[in-house]
Amino acid sequence: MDVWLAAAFYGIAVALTAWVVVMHRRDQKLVAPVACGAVVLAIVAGYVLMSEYAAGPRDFAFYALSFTGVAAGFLLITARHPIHGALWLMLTILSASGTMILMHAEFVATAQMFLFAGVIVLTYIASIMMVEVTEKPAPDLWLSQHTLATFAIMLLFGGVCVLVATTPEDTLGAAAAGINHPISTIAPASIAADDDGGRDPGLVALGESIFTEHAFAFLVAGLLLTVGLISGVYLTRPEKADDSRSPL
Amino acid sequence: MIPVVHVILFGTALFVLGLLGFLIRKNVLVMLLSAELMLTGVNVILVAFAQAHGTISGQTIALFALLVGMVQIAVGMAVLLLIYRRRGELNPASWERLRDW
Repeated sequence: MDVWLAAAFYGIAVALTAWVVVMHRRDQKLVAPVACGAVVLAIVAGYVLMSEYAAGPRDFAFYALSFTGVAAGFLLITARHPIHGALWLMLTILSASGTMILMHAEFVATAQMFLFAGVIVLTYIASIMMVEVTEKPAPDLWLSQHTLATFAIMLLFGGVCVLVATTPEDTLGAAAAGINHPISTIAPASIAADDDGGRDPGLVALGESIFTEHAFAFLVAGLLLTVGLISGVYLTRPEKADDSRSPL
Repeated sequence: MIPVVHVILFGTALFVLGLLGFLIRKNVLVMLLSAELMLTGVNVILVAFAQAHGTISGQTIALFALLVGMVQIAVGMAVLLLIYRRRGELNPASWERLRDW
């Protein structure tokens, strides 16, 4: 892991921190320089990534999707209106699904796209309409301790960056997994399986894993979904005037 | 060839952004969205490790995490609507009475 790359990542994080602080103070004079600094840092990091690592359209797509996802995530947490936040979350999830497709996890990517970007975000938007956020959003967007929280979180992210930057790539998780070869990169077809009549070997392996090795967990997940459905219906049922059993 | 550490950094960045949004926002709708962002970051890291190790279990865990996230949203939105109906406000600071229970 290139130390300069980690430094560039952390520089972007610090610029975003400054952005959060500055946006809250609404000091218009500082917004433009901080935004320009973040954009310049992002371009530098992107250039380093592209020149060092991008060997083809697949790698280029990965870095483009990553930057899109992180930028949309940042816009989600700074969105003034919850509906904008939901749409930014949709973009983030689509970007993450794109990176999963590049990592040859097509089924998880598709499930995430359908379930999260489709169902969940639309449920969100419907719920936001139900709570009728029609008045202007509160001008005070963040908690009063937001500066402290932001710096604490960025310290955490810096710690992860340092940890990742100082870990030799050859040992990244390989020793814990009990395998000898380095796992520094994701190969185009890392799930080694024979071509079984044109079927996708990764998908077949996933189905076998779910319904044999993790069959009990699958049943528990089904039970959990049923309980979630019942509790959702129970909690949002129409209220009666003399309902002493109401949970709230 | 995508380096695993870059995928880990991407997932960590999503997780950290979600945690930040969950901690500093006052609107509980955006707080729930931030929790989903954290879940997405963790799923990306799970898939990356599964593919790097050449096993499939990480993808299975990611799928189960997706299911648990859906249940979280279903119950969370129900509770949120219920509290909003009682309080008429989306700022969790106004729900302090829940603390005493």
